[in-house]
Amino acid sequence: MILPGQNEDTYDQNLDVTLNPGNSLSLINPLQLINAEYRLRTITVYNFNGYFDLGITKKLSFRSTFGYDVNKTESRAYDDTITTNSKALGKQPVLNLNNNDITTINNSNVFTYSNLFSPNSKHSLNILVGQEIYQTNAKANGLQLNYFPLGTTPDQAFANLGLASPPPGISQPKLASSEVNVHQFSLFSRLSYSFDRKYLLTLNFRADGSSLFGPDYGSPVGTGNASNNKWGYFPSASFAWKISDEVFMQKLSFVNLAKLRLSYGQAGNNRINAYGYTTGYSPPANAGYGLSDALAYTLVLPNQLGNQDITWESLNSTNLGLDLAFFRNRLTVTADFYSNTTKNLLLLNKIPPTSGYGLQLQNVGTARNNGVELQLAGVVMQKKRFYWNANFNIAFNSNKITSLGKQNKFTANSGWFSTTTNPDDYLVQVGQQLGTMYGLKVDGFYTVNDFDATNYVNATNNAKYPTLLYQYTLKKGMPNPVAVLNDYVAPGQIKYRDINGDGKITLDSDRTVIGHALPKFTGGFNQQFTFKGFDASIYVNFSYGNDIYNANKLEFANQYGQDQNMLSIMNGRWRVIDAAGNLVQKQPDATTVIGIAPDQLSALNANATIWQPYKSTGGYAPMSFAVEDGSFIRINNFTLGYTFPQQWTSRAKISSLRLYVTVNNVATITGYSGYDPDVNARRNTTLTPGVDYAAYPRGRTFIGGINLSF
Amino acid sequence: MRYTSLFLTRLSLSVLLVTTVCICSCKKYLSPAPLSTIDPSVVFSNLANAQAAVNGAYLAMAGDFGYGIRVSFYYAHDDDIIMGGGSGIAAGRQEEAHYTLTAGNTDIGSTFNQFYAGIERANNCIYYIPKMKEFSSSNAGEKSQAQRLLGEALTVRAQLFFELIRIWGDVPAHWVPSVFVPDLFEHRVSRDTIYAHLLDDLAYAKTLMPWRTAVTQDERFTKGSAMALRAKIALFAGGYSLRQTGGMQRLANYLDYYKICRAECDTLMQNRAQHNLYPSFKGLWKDVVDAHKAVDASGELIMQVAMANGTQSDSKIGAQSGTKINGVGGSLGNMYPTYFYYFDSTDLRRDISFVPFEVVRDVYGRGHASNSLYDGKFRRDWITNPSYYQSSGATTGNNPVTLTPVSNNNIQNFQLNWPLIRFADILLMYAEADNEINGAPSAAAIAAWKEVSLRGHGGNAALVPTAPADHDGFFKLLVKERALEFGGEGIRKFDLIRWNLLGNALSETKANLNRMAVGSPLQSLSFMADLPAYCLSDTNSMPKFMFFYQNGLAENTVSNKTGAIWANSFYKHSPNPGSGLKDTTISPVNADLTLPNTSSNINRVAWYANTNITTTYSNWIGYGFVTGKSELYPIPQASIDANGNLRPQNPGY
Repeated sequence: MILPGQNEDTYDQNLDVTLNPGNSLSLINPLQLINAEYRLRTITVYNFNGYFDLGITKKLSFRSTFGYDVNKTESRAYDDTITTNSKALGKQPVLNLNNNDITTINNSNVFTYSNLFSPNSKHSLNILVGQEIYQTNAKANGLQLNYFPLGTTPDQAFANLGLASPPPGISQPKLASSEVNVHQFSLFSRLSYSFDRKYLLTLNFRADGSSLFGPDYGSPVGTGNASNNKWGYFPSASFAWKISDEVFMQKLSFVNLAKLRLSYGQAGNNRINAYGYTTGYSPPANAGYGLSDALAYTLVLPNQLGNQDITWESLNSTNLGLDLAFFRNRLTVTADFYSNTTKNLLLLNKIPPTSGYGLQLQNVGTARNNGVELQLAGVVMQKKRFYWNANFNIAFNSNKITSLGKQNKFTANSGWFSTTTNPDDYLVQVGQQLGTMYGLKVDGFYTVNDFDATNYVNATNNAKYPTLLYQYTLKKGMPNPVAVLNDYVAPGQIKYRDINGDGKITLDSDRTVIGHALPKFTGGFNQQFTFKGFDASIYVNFSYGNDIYNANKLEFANQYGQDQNMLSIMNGRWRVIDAAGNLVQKQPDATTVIGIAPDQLSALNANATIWQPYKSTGGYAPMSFAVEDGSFIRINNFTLGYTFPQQWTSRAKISSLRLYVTVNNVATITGYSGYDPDVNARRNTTLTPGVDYAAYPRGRTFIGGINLSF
Repeated sequence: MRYTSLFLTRLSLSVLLVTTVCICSCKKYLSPAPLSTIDPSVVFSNLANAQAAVNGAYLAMAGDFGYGIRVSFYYAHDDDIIMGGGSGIAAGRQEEAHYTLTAGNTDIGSTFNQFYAGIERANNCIYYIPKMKEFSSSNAGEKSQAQRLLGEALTVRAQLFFELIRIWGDVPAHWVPSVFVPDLFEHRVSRDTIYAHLLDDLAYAKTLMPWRTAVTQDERFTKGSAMALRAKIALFAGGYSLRQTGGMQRLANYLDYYKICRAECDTLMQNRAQHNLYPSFKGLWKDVVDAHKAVDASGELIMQVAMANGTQSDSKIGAQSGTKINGVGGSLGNMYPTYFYYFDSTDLRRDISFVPFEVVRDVYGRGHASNSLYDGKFRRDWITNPSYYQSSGATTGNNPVTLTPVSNNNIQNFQLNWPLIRFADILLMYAEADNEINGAPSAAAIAAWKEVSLRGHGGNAALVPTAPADHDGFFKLLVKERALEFGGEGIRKFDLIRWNLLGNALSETKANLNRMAVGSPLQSLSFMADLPAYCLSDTNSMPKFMFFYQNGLAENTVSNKTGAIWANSFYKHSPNPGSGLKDTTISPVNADLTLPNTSSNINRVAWYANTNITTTYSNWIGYGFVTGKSELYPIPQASIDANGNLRPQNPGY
């Protein structure tokens, strides 16, 4: 690839051909890459909703609601010659066309009895009974075509798929398609009763049946004696007492509202992928056993083992709330104390790969969330032309895993390093929070003082390296990191802490908790002002105590990708070459490290702040170096608006005209070194929150608008 | 209360609506048919789908993490023939070859998982196929097809477990589909138990499968495959391996296993119509394997992994290995110059296994120095049907590598099948087993070895060396013969391990390379038959430089010469500068190849006393090898994290 202005000689063919720039990480100039990658996604959405309402008697009515939604997405992608995809396929463009169609149908039928008692009575009763179905049908099909002629533009390619011509003997990838249906059927009822409008009681009961759970009653093979796991039953009850309406409260005139709320309820969660209860064969995507050089018809098992026992996850929540209003509603206070327990957590759990599978959906464990939420809102100033109200809220939550079934703990992998065979970096353990980061603890780097320097005599190497006449061996008592490091231990290398004190650093026994993704508290405050015709609002939110696992740091403080640029913190690295370009430290074979005299080596590296970068994938192992505090305060939104005076606009028959300007993401104050402390880049599993890996930075948006009503 | 007719109508209407809707609440509504996945019981309801499921088991052997490149090439080195991975220890493949890998290496994790996924697919086939109605059908055609499928599944499972044990030692094993395994957190099972189970499986499998010539010929396993694999597994079961308790040990009753091996080989050798040596060693590679032929006429390829162009179905053999063609690619897997001197000068296999040059301008050879040598069985210029034209486009200079613009210089996959067991292996295994059992080679053993050596010498019996009559001498002869026959086929390292010779091989090879680097004479290796006498000569008789012609054809047309590219001999002192060695391939014949006497001479490469051998080869060969540790790879860390019962880790890691 030659940039404009360069001539042929600047293209280093050897670099491209024999080496893989960046050690096969395929680093390409990002600007050129953007121009070579074409992506277009078209989404077409139709929504139809209707209802009919039938009044059977004065108190009894029936309502049926119907909805039909269609969402069609077409994704087009075209990778031109310099992209990685194209390079792997003869440096000719590659085309991908994917269609995803989701159709949703829902229907609910509800009977309502209201006001069963006479209007004069102190009692009031409402009853609601209903049934609902909800189903989705998701169809997907995809095609990939390789070997388009050089110079074909994306539009030409999509209009002319037949242009793709693979060389003889090579076939195009196979087409792929899939269709998934999910059905849900629910029955629900509610009873609400109030006495004297002071005491309110609501009872709910809900039964949900989902096709996401087994067994498959439509299967031609039959279900054997598998139990029916499709149904979940969720009752709830809540009680409220409007204390401020009581006679004894009328004396406290400054209290306008005092309401006590108490509730207990269960809710269900079935947000998993379909067919988790069975293990089915399917043809592999673009693969097959190559009998006689053609891909024969092949069926393979998926990476997920089915589990016929999965069922609804349920959340039991208990809540005590207090709503207070004072001073003619100028100050309101809301406090909620809650305790939520999630039972039968639905997790895509890792199972040992010796089973032939990597994952299985399981209802494993329970987790508990206890916390307090507090909200204060008040009108700070209320003058004729100036009005200011403020709102402050803060939430404290404590999360704990209380059971994991038969296991006491297991580890999870965020999967940021492309394969899931990098050591696991999150710990899921009874008694710990969710989102606990797990890795080696970094203790700086080895200095010359950690080594014994002895004279080094070896004919071959003394001749080759005449200035490196000292051998450095790790002092007795210092733990031996050979199990995790590729290079032999040397001055300037990263130093890990030996947690269990066995004299060796191993992934098995020296990984420990290095961070927590969940914050200690979060909240926000909102100010609104109006002055004459102007209105303004500022919204600030904050989070404290959340840690972020900055995987970008692991990738870019590492020299595995030869010729790849590194973060600027590596400018302070331990040097093995002095300012004049002479070698001062070297590892000539597997078990020897030699260098110049120890005092000279220390002097050269007196200002070193960080270790020599790793040159292997061992540098991607989870370690405390990557964990940073992500606490932040962010001015999230600022809006300024002006409403034109009534007398001017009414002349133009306009009832109101307002102009406004809004800025989103105004500023963030944080100690985090990455782009955005509010990041969650690996969301595939709920077990690994708080990872920042190539997360797109949050943009600042400026919006201007007009509100016009006639 | 009076019920008006309107009220009743309205009530009944709504009740009707609700009940109609409620009818859908039966279980069927909550069980929409899975369209994109198929239940196993349905898959095994007809032969075509059952065949597809067995293909799924086969597929686990192919691809990048299977025999596509990693198991066949990355994990199978270093040994005394090839240095894998290249110079260095940073990349994954370099760690694997030079024995510096740790449990966190990601390649081995993917291979481990892929093989177990294949075992699960095979377990499903083995469980369900006997339940198919075709299995016990009265229709002979259907029955034999179904039985063959079961035999194939048993053989694939055996091959996968065999490879797992070779690489990792004791591993978890279960013999039914995972859905029936009560606790998936399995412990490691002793390799002896697994081997015994596999030998029984294969004894059964060979009765289920037909001979090669009785069915359509392709890469699917046949009766011969099961027998050959049984012989090989028996030999490994009776060989040395690194035990959990530390130390290389073999079973006390290892001869029982050698007897099994000898019996299987004997049966195969009695059935020459099914499997026999391919007449020409070069033809086997150039006209069969590299020509993308699924099978060869003699049936020498008894067991192989088929590869074709698709995700995880393909192989990078030939792309990452082998020498450069027109300046493009390969150059992983350097062969040692000491391996060159294992062969005697009349052994045809030398020039097929070993390539001391690159191919330029499509057909011409350009010699390489002795620190830049590659394997040749899967060479890119022999690949046909389809062939792949490649060019780096480096047309500049007065000695360009190509005359054509850049083309296809990034193709990674050539769809070359990977041979697992050949008939030559059967003959040599027979000879070895017989030698061990009898304490000395019998006439049949010597005859079996002789067949292989005869083919290697082009059918000329006078060139075949004499076989020693004692046990130790014959054993060393076989150690050498296996190196000569199987260079670059991923066999050598595991042979050395089962003989408990890997540590010695690496250190003695390193010593010989260092001798070659400074110009001292080579020494014979202690564990092998002696090198040819003229390879051990005093340094003054070995060539310091090798000279090659500008336009010498890389593809040698004369069968017993090194090729038409070299102007002087590998076994004699190189000509002095100015001696008048003419380049006969350019016209008019004028240039003296020996001039100028400097490193800028484009017709000259350093051969003996080449100090680069040290920096390229001997500094890296077996860099991290530790006896009692490096004979096995570590269990991948990710697997130990997922299942603590896999502890303890292999010794030393």
